[in-house]
Amino acid sequence: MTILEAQGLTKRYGKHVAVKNLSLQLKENECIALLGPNGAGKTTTLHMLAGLITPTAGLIMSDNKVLNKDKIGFLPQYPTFFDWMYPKEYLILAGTLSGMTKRTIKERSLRVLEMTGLLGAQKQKIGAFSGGMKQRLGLAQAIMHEPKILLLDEPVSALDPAGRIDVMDILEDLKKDMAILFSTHVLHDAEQICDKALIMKSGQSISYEDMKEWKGNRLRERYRLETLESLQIEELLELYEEIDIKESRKIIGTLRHNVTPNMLLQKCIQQDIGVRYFGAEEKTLEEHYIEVMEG
Amino acid sequence: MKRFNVLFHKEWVEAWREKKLVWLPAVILLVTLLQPISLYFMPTILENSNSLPPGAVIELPIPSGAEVLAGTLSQLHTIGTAIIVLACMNVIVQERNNGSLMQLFSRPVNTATYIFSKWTMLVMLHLGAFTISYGAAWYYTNILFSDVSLSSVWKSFVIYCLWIVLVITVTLFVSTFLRRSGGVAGISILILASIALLSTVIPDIAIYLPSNLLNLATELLSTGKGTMPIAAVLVTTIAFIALLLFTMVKQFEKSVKF
Repeated sequence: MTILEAQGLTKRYGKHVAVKNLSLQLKENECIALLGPNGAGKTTTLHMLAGLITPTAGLIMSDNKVLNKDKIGFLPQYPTFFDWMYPKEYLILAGTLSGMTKRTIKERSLRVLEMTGLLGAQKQKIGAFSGGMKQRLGLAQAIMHEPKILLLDEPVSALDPAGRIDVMDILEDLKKDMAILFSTHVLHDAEQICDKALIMKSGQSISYEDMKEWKGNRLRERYRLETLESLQIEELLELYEEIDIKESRKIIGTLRHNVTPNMLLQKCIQQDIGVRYFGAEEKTLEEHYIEVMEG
Repeated sequence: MKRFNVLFHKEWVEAWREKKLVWLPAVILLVTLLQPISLYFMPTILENSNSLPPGAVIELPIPSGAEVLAGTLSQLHTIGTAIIVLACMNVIVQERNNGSLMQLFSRPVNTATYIFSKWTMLVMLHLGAFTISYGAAWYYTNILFSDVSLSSVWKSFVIYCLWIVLVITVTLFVSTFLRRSGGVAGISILILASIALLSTVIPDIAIYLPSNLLNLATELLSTGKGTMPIAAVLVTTIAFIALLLFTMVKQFEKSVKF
């Protein structure tokens, strides 16, 4: 079931086109990463999907119906609260605005505080929160009303490494219950938990792919070789059909048709080259991203 | 209704935690009480000021209670209006600029619900503060000067409340257009001053307009019944407030809110 569908989404601010003819489909329990350089239109896209700004053109639907805000949980890039409030008070406000009943709010607010690791911070006013805690509370308010669709605008860019891993674990857990669309610059995270990646550049979608698909395709073909000394042996290079990355001590690429990995290794031994690392290499999202950006 | 209630409640808690609930009534009370008390002590103040040549005789006519209360309202009309504008200029602008507004509106919240929760709270807060202050001023006027009848005080109170509601509404109205609180205060005061100025520019027409509210209130104090067209002023003022509210909801809905 397509829980969120956008067709030909366009947003113009005067002459400036922020998003141009963007289409995407988010199915139930699917996770999509929205990638792209700063200013590519990721935030504008998320704001349109969240119903915060009206698109100049295009359709946003859920299950072939008009999308209801009740279904959406949204975390802005810089979550802002009322500094004088306690975290629970904000969750009550958020829950009531989303039409929850008093009793469910009570249970659910404790649950989301627990999930985001904020139970211990209940007695603190939000004004005293650190940036990371605000980000967590932002996530807590976004999932408060158990939305079907979770839209997150750079959920991890303000977090320290430990916080980033925490948030990614929470998202991994949430994937069971809701569809997630989030923008990020951390490609590694996107690779870990997302099924698809949508790459944007100057307002347009330039790549929209299923990650598992191209990962599976390339798995057996590519080999990575790292050595102790600089690699300058032409013979070695000849074994590769296509070289994706070539640094002084590192080669990643596809081997020629009749060349086995062992032959490559053998060659190294023959030439007395110290091997640091040798193995099959999946294509990373980072490479794909750079390829798409340059292409 | 549940959404209105929770936002309305939020406004009160905010006013309490930021102590607006304390300082605003206190400031308005101070401004209001200053008039009767300083008038009462005026002769003593002048005597002790030492700036008069020896032998100067001061004879001030003792004003009537109605005159004193009228003076109180005029005082409030200038300083009080500015205080109300300053107290209201931030309520929308701040939430809009820091992004908390956007986070609220990612939920199914109506623009009208949001604006009315703020408007209702501000109106109640300011009218409450005015009631206490005007009551106190009336009490001191009765003790220090002559008695003013409850019925005339009551009428002037109701009329002047309308001006306060108008000030709040104008300030919120400007807040939905501008993003800087300084600009909001400036433009609001400009609009309110122009309304007040109308009574000197076009006195014949302004007699039916909100510009006449203060005159009407002071006249009701001194005579108990007005010779001016009360009903017309009430109608134009309420219509103007309603129009501002309607336009601001529409404008806020349409404009880029964030």
